[in-house]
Amino acid sequence: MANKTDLISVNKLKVNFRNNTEIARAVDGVSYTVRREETVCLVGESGCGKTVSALSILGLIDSPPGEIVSGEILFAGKNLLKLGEQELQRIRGNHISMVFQEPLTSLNPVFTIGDQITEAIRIHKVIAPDELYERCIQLLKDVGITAPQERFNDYPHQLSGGQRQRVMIAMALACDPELMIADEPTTALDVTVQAQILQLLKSLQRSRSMSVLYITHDLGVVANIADRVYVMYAGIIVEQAYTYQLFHHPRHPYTQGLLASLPNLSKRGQRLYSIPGTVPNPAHKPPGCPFHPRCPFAIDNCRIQCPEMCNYGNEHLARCPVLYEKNPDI
Amino acid sequence: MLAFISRSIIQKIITLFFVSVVSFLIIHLAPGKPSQVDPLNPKFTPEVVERFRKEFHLDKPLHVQYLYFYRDLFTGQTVSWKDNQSVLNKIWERFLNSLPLFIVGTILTWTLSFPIGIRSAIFRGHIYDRSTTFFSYLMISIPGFFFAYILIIFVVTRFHVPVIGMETFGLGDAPIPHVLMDRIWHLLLPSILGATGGIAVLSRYVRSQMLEVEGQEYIRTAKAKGLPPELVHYKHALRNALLPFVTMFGLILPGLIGGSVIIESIFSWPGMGRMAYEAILARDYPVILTVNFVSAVLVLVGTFISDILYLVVDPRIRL
Ligand SMILES: Nc1ncnc2c1ncn2[C@@H]1O[C@H](COP(=O)(O)OP(=O)(O)OP(=O)(O)O)[C@@H](O)[C@H]1O
Ligand code: SF4
Ligand SMILES: [Mg+2]
Repeated sequence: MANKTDLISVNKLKVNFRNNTEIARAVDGVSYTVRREETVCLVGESGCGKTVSALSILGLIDSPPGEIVSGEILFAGKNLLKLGEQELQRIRGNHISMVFQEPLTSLNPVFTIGDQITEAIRIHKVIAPDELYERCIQLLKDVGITAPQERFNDYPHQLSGGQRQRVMIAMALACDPELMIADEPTTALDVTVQAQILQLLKSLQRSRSMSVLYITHDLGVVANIADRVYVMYAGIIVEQAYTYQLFHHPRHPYTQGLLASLPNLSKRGQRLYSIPGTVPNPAHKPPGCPFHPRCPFAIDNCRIQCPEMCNYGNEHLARCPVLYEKNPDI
Repeated sequence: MLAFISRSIIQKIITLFFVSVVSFLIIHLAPGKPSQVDPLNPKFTPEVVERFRKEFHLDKPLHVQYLYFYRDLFTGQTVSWKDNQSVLNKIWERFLNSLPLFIVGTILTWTLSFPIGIRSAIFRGHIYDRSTTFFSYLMISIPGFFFAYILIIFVVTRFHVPVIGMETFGLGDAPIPHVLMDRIWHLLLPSILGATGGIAVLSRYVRSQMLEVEGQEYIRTAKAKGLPPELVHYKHALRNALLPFVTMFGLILPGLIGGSVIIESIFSWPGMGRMAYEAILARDYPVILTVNFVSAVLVLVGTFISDILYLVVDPRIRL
């Protein structure tokens, strides 16, 4: 697997949000890589900066209040952060597309879904009208919409939640992007529909040989679709590994806590574990390791210095020297 | 659709009936009477007043008066108590006078407010936005008569054209272009004055609508598709931001019979507003009630048009 080439790499990205009184360091030096034809999960609790780090890729951070302070995002040999608005427009939706969390509010209520899907193609490709229509119908079929000809002229409110998300996915696929970013695409849907959408994304990723950056707070979803995982906490990556590694040998206390709080059959009847304390506010992060107020292993040094990544080999890294010293190689 | 239209029409007719009753009652309950004996006027003896009351059915109970009034209105026989002229004719004449003011004012308001408001929203916080905000509040807070005064002084001293009234007297046999220019000059100032307040308010409203829509998630989706800013703003955002204005569009209609008392008074413009105002002072009930009734009809027709337009432009509303 390691022989796949990098498609996009985000390096030491820092994004701040500024309001009148304080600066929130929403993303605080995040690095991750998505390779060709792989699915990477970015996982973490609400507010840890997942969405912000994904929107930065497309240059969609509202500024003000947002500001990309430093870092680089390399895609096809170019630093996306250095590109002009027009060059970014040629990449958005064409090479990198995005599916959002709320399919209802993310679709424009006053245009038909046919219009909204074909628009994405029209803007990037030169294509004859009837071919455009055929392509849109094919896309709707690919994402599992039944009777696509009839749906073509429907408005978003006429579809169910799951269908809307399928339409969003069709829109994101419209120009055959190399990378699709899916920001919690199933959170707003009910459980059976969630599973269907997840299955759909999985099969589309394979059949189209594209890469998927999947953002979620749900480790169950991660186990289901990810090749590799990045665990985010308070604006930084705390652990990264292949999925199997992460689930069987978590190396960061935060990851361990997340896994321990997963419900599973062998723990039936017991109370679910949950990590004590809450996620720090990005404007008032504790110094040192941001996890130390909630960490059972914290030592004095954790309060002073933010730790570096420790390498466990096979691309498994975790940002906790305390556990590394205890047990560097299992 | 048909069911909606017929239901809506029936509802509006019922509303109209209540409006007619309530306005009739309010007028009759208001202090002052048309038939008071004026001790200073020797012609206004109690006998004359009595005859007058008989002739206009003022001696009958209220509900009979109500029936008489609306019978006359619908048969077109209502006459003013002041000068015995047909009320409908009077209103029509004044309406024709007010119409040019109304048309020019409305066109100015609606064509200027949108570009101003939309640009302010797109360039939120920039110098353009700040200056339009400043001028809007200035225009909203300066009293109309004061602004009118300044404008009149400016135009008269600067261009040496008379602007009071609907036209300059004694231009009877002047060449056509001259008369035309004269008319336009007389029309321009009161129209602009009538429109400034509207432009200030409406452009603010357009701006806030536009800002609200620009913050919606589907705008982010549109950007994420790679659309250029023009399409994001003028297709995806504007189309949504315009929806509430469709309602307002229907409400232009009642303005046809409104007319501004202040502006018409300042410019000695013989329009609707002044006629209604004078009728109220003279307790000329037939004129007041007819104007009232006609504006109620226009309001209801306006809201009806809005409902239909909304149905057409907002796909979420289906029957
Ligand atoms: N437009 C904004 N204005 C101000 N602060 C913002 C804005 N967007 C994000 N932030 C800040 O950035 C932090 C990270 O937000 P982000 O949306 O990336 O979290 P997330 O990990 O995607 O969470 P969730 O699971 O809730 O979507 C938030 O805590 C918030 O304080
Ligand atoms: S560095 Fe310290 S505080 Fe941070 S996770 Fe490790 S033990 Fe806990
Ligand atoms: Mg998010």
